[in-house]
Amino acid sequence: MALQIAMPKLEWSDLPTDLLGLILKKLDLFDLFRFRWVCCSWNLAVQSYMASHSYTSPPQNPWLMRLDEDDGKANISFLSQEGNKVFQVNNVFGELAWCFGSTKGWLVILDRTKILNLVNPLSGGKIQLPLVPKYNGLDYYPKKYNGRLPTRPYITKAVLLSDPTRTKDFAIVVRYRYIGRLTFCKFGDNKWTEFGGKKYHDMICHSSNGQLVVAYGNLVVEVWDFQGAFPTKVGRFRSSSRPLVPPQVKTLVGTVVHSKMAKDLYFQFYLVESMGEILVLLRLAFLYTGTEDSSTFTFAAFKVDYSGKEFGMVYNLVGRALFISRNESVSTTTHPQYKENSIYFTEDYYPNDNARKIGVCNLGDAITNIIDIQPSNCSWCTWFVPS
Amino acid sequence: MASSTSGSSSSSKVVKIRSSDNENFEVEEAAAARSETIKKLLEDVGDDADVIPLPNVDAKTLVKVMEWCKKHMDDVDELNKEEMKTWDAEFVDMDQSCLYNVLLAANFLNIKELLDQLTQKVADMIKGKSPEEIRATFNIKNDFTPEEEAEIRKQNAWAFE
Repeated sequence: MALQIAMPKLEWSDLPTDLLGLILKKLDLFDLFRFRWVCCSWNLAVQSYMASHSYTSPPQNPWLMRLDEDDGKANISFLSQEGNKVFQVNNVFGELAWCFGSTKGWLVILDRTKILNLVNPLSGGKIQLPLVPKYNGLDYYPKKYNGRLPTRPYITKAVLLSDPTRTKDFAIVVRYRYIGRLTFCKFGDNKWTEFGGKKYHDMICHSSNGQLVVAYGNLVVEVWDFQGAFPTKVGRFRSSSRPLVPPQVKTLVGTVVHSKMAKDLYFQFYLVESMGEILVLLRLAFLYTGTEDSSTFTFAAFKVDYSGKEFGMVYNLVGRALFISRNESVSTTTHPQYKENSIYFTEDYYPNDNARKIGVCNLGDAITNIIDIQPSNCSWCTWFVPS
Repeated sequence: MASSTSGSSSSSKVVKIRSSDNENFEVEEAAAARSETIKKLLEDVGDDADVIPLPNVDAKTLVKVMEWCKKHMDDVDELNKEEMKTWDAEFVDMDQSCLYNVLLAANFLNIKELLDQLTQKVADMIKGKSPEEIRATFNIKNDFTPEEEAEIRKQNAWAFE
């Protein structure tokens, strides 16, 4: 008879760390965070996995982030587009006064005590930032006016140049004041320092080198490096398209203007990194008479050529879907749920009555459709890239 | 003409391996060598090898792993890729305790492709489930204290929906 060697009874919770790592690599962020709460050893495994140097955030379609107001209290909800998973985040923020947006999975939150924080809603991480200086007695967050939010917030965008989860040595840039100035602070700074001096349309962090890419004017793209104590400009590109708005879009403007009571045309530029390239998206919208409501009718796309000094228009982004918002913009490869060569956008530049709408624009024929409308307690909705 | 292709597969060498519960198996070397661990042991002992002991793998698990190795012994051509995919999907479809043992064995025997298929299967079993559902699937005890559990649920209500 064969000798039996007594094997200790092992369980899934005892799975070796290297094997757990192989499993974790195959999960998206939603599932990673659920996995964490199964048992103590798995919680520790996820923590050390996400803190390790080899960790990169799993490829992730953006979530819709919604700022909801119920009985004067603001809540943030996140909606995953896969399987329509919704979850609400409370408590993490203390009493939330306003969320100015997000960057690299961190929300920029101003609480009621006027403390500016970076908060990671998934990990619960929290980093206090110095308060951005105020100008001319303007309030930090949008005030209600006749029951709605009429103005744009004081801070309109924030960009982290490195992920605070990975390194303490991070820099953050915010666009603030109504004229769109940029100011930055680094970890440990007790104040913000303004730089650049232009009125900026948008800014993003180039993922390959952590440099800041900005757009201003009609139309210039610049690259800024933050290695030194003060940011330095390392690249400058001009648009070669004159005029900026292409002819077929102009025709479209004509037909729509006749059919609607539009007060004014409204242009907004967005920067997005897509397959290593820098794209500039031009959004054309109407502002309606007597309101701040805007309604997007089309987009145009430009590609920045890093080897040249100028850049031009593109009509075809094969295999990509872009998600564009004031808060964050992201490019994904084609997914069964999303059409290629399409721009998914939220009507979010100002908090306005249309801010609850989500639309899609096909770059090929420049046609735009509204595909979803959020509930009426939603102040604004925007794309959020979890990390 | 035909002689050039017929020679290679006929002279398949057989190696002996022994499970932790002392059962001996005879396996074609090409199949056994899918395991980096066995391959290395074979190189070390050369032709003097009598039986290769595998103290971490029981007979039941070893049979399962060797079944996979045999199927994956030869390179798969394009025509058979679909068929192989179906076979692999059926292979990893086993109960959780068996899956656990085969996973540990694949790790010890260092069979990268099998390890990848098994961890993918585990990940698929986790996807879209709440912590309670994951615990039920893998028979895991909730070892957070009631206080910790309450705090986690308060902070991360979304994860439990």
